[in-house]
Amino acid sequence: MNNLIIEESIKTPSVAFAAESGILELKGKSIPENSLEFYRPVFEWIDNYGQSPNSSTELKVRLEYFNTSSSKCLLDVFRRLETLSLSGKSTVKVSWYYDGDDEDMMEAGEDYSALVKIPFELLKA
Amino acid sequence: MLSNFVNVHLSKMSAQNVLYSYQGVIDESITEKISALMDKHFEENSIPSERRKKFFLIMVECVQNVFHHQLKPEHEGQPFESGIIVSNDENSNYRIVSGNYIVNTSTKALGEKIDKMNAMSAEQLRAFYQESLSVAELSEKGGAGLGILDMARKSKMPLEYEFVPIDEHYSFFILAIAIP
Repeated sequence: MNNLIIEESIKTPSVAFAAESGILELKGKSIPENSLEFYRPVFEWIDNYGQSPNSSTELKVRLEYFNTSSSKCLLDVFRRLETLSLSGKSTVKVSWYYDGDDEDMMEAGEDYSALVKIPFELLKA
Repeated sequence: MLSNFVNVHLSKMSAQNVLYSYQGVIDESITEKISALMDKHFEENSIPSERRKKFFLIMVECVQNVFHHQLKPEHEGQPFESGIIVSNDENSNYRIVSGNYIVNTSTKALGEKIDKMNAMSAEQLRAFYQESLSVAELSEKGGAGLGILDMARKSKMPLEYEFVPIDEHYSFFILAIAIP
């Protein structure tokens, strides 16, 4: 299976999803007007990866900030990982990095962790 | 007619320092243009990065809220697509004001929604956000229906708003958000 690599842009984060290691990373800002366009290939990749995943999967979220359009897509990313976790094929965790002073991003990580049943680790970057 | 509203609002803020003011169709390039202007202001005034981030986040949400809700192009040729985005700075208390046309049939529900948010504590706003996010669906233009709620939560201060009646079909919706 191919890795998913997308370069960072002014309004969208970099994506580096490695199928073999099961390490997936989102980094940068996510503020596109219509986030579905950007996240659709991300969803598709996770769905394909879920067919034969690594025994462990870690999503590293290193976002500076994101808009509400992205917040819905991020929830869908986490829900797909939750489905993968429930399938028993892979042990899934999310590492959520935030700037030490950034209360908004810390709370956002806590919000997601309350909405999906996969372990979230909140880490000060 | 729209310029009257802008003028009214600019005069309301006359004692205060307008940082930028945009009037016209809100498109995908506006956030970058405002960011460039504000970067300069923040640099010159040595504003700490957390405050800059807060400003950008709320500004992006505010602009995209107008982008998602400005009326459809079938009204092209009429002023219905035009919006306004203004920010001012009063002793480093920033405020972002947006304006866009809205159909009269939507004003009651929107006003009630904002009143309800303004009456909520920070904890209640957070619970309401989580609840809304878990059932959110994206519109065709990518709106999650969470913009005003997100701004209320991040601002931590009541949202000010006004519906200015235009005619039997339309009003102009003005929303002001204080940036902490």
